[in-house]
Amino acid sequence: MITEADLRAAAATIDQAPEAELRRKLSELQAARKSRTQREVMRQQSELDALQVDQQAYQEASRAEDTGALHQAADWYRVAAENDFADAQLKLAKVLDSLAGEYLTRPESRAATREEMDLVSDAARWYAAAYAAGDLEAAELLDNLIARHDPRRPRAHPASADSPASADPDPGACALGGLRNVMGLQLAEMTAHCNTCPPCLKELFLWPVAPPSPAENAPAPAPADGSRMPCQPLSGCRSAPRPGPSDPA
Amino acid sequence: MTDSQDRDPADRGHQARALCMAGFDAFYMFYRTRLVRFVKVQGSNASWAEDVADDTMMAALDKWDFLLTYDRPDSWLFKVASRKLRQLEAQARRHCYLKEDLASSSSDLKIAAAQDEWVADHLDLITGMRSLPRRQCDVIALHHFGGYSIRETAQILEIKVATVKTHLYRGLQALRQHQGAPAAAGLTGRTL
Repeated sequence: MITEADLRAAAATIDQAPEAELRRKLSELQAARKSRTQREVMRQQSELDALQVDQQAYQEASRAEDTGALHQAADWYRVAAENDFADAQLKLAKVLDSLAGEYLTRPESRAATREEMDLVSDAARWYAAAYAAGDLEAAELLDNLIARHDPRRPRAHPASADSPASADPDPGACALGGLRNVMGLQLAEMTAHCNTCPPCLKELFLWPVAPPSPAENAPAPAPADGSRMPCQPLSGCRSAPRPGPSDPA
Repeated sequence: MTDSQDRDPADRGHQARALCMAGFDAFYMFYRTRLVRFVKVQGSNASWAEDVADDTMMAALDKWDFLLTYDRPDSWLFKVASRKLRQLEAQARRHCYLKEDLASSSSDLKIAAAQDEWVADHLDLITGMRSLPRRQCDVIALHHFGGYSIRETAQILEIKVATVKTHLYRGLQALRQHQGAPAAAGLTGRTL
């Protein structure tokens, strides 16, 4: 058992050291300072500056968080958290938690799920780091995070069966009126359009099973049961799905 | 209790400024040993303490003219040393070469005790301090060994006063429950 009396006893003698030894150390320090190269001086100065960068990053992050710029806040908090500055680890975890929370109400898609899980795992890592550093509230926040982002939870679907085009939040932004109309074009035209039309590209990407049925003049209508359109393999094309950029090999 | 703890913060600030006015040598002679031992208590590796303290003192000498304008030049010293140590540890942790397990800490302290009588005399206390989570250890070290008030400790660590109080309370509670220097291997509270 350690008491405050032990702390006081240790504090009372913490600065006791032989004076001759201290003078020798001081002489060594002064000699080392004089013999420094310009490069060493600059290195030491940059190390000192790096300490201030952590503080400035933390302050910038707090400002960004106050204005609701959570992505920016996360970037700045990360700079400070990497060097264990103040409670930046806990703050970063909370911001990542908030960013992951935005996905709870978004429609389901593979990309959204992956992004959400990336944020959740990152937030969990920083909550754990903050807990280890002594921020005990991080444990409860971590539990809540994991409970909220259960991958088996029911999710919102991007579209109902009778209005597939509603998956696009703003179909009017497409000059052709949305992906449904684009699907009626020739393949080359459709590809060219999607490459230059972010709303259509997004809608195509978010589509859960199959692209929307093409217009009546489409050359190859989608199956009536809503299943994925059969793949017409080209030479060298493999039908097995490719892993995403962050999927394990 | 040290002299600096007996006085109020204004007196300690006056003392620090007086030491500054007396020149770097007097400042060094007063704070160097305290700073080295402060870092030994906080860190996982006592061999870093001398380097961190010397680097900090060198930096203080480099910007001595600026330090003379500070209200509390000594708190700058402890702030920089503490951040240097935490930055070093964070880098070592990222590269997986920071040994934070109890067995490593115990052997590190034995070496430190052989070189420093103060560590040998307070081995159990330092072992207990090192077993605390970093924030609690920082707060107790600054408040009790650095002689800083709660508010000054909060300013040095850039955290809220309420957070300092919480860490101080939890840290002292944990120290009261500390069961001496354990010999068996295990994980400290710092290990993630």
